[in-house]
Amino acid sequence: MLTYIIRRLLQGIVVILLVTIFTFGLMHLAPGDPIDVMVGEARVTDEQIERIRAQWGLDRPVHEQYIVWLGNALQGDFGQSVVRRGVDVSDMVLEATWVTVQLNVLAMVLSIGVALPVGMIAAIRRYSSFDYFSMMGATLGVALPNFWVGLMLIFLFAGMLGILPSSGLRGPEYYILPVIVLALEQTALLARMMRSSTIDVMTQDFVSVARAKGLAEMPVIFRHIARNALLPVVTIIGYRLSFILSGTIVVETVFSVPGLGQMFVTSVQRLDYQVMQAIVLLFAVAVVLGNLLTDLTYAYIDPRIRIQ
Amino acid sequence: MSETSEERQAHESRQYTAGSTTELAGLERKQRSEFRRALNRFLRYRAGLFGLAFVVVLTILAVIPMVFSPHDPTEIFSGMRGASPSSEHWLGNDHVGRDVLSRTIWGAQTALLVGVVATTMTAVIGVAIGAIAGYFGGWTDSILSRLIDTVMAVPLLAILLVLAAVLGPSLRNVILIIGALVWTQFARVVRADMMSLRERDYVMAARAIGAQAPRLIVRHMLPNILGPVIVMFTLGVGSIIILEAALSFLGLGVQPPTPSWGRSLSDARPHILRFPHMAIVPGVMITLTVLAFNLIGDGLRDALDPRQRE
Repeated sequence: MLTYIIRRLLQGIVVILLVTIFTFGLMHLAPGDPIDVMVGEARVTDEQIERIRAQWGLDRPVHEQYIVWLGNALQGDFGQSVVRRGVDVSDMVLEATWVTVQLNVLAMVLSIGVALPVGMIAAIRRYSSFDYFSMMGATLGVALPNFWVGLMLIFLFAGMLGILPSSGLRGPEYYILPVIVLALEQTALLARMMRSSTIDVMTQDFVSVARAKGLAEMPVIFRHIARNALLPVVTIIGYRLSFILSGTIVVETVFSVPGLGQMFVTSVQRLDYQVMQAIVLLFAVAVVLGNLLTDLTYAYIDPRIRIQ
Repeated sequence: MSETSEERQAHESRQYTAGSTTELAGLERKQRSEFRRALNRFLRYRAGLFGLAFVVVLTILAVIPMVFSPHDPTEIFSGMRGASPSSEHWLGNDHVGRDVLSRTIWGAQTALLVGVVATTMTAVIGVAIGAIAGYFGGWTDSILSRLIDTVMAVPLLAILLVLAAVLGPSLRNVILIIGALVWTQFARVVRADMMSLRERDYVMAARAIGAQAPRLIVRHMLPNILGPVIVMFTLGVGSIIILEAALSFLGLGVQPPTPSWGRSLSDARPHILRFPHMAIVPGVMITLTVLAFNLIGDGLRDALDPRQRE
């Protein structure tokens, strides 16, 4: 078990390094560098530009720059933002991470709270009108683009009804719309999975045995069906971290939420390389750790899963 | 019941007749009935038929948009900024005065182009990598599996955005970028299926009579995993259309003046409170298109791959 964890961690580190090398290389292939962005229209001489380049280490070969960056990053120093001059990237990113984590934890709680009961009831009352309508809703929910739903909710609740704010994050009421939109796709997917997983469990022998020994329907559902049906559904959440991050990028932009997602989009649009790099690294670490933790949890909860 | 007897007949004709022509006839009958059964299963799923009908309509719009589009999608009508729907402009005008209906109709072309071409790319790359990894196993498999793991651990939208920003956002780059990164699901499924197929008797038999790897893979093994590949392809088109819309919405996808639904929503965002009509129809089109491909995919899964049924 320990060797397995160590091996997976090493693999994870390789993956993270590859991702950062890839983005680092890409950014340096791009036409123009941060200095061009910084200088913009200002009148500066070529010597001045060269001096700034040397000062920032931008005149050195790419692989040297990468090693310097990596060394600093390992010590928690991600440099300074080129666009927001003089601000440490690590401070910016830390602040934004907190916002993003808050939103996504709330969205996760909401989608689990809605999806699991709905999926289970749909499975138990299979072919009922509840099953039919909830699964139709789930199919639609998967197809709805979250940025459009966000715009429509802004129009409805901030525009027509005027009861909720349209953008920013300055109080509890600001969380309502972004959290709902973030939860939407996840809820639809989890409800569908919960339904099919429950149906799978319901047809297994141990459920028939529980019923045959005279157990009432409620204990059968909660003690035997629910516990087993939950397993594949809850564990899939960890594997979906990459999609959750994609969701947060889009939704934070729609609602102008000062989180990681919006910060990433602005840094990409302005070619603020230091910020881009730091966020890509953070995302890659999150995805790798998410997958590893999910695998471990899975093996821990379900002894039938064998880890080699 | 008639299906089963037909199948048995085909089976028997193969077992007891030595003549190759009879054997071929039997095989052909088997194939036809297999196809017909799949078709019957698909036709029974009404939501899938709705999806198919919608995609047919959309394809017609995408191929000959000029027939249906009342105006040039890039023409700017002066003095019509954000104008509400009227008899001349059924869906109104956008924030610079272009006709929303015309832009929506031409947007179908962009959506389908990206959806189909990028998904084809992902399918080709994914099937190739999956087939090679699954067939050869050993070191080849280890290396390719690590590659699949790495690409899967990439925060997808983040890297797509970085790539689009660096390479310069355009329709062609959006297709290339998505095609180059979204193939992992194909690779994983094909790899697993190839590994189990490799041990089948008929593959061993073909290998025993001297068939080489490329022929074995292409002629004998890939046709047997066509079902799941077709299903993944259909579902992939839907999710890639959403991805293109999201990239364009964030300003790093298709660039103006090319009409794109995601781009239209991006244009609508700052004006959502004043000109909501700009956002409604493009969003409905994205939703219906993705829904249509997903429904076809669900129907095909039931028809072609009964094991994966939900």
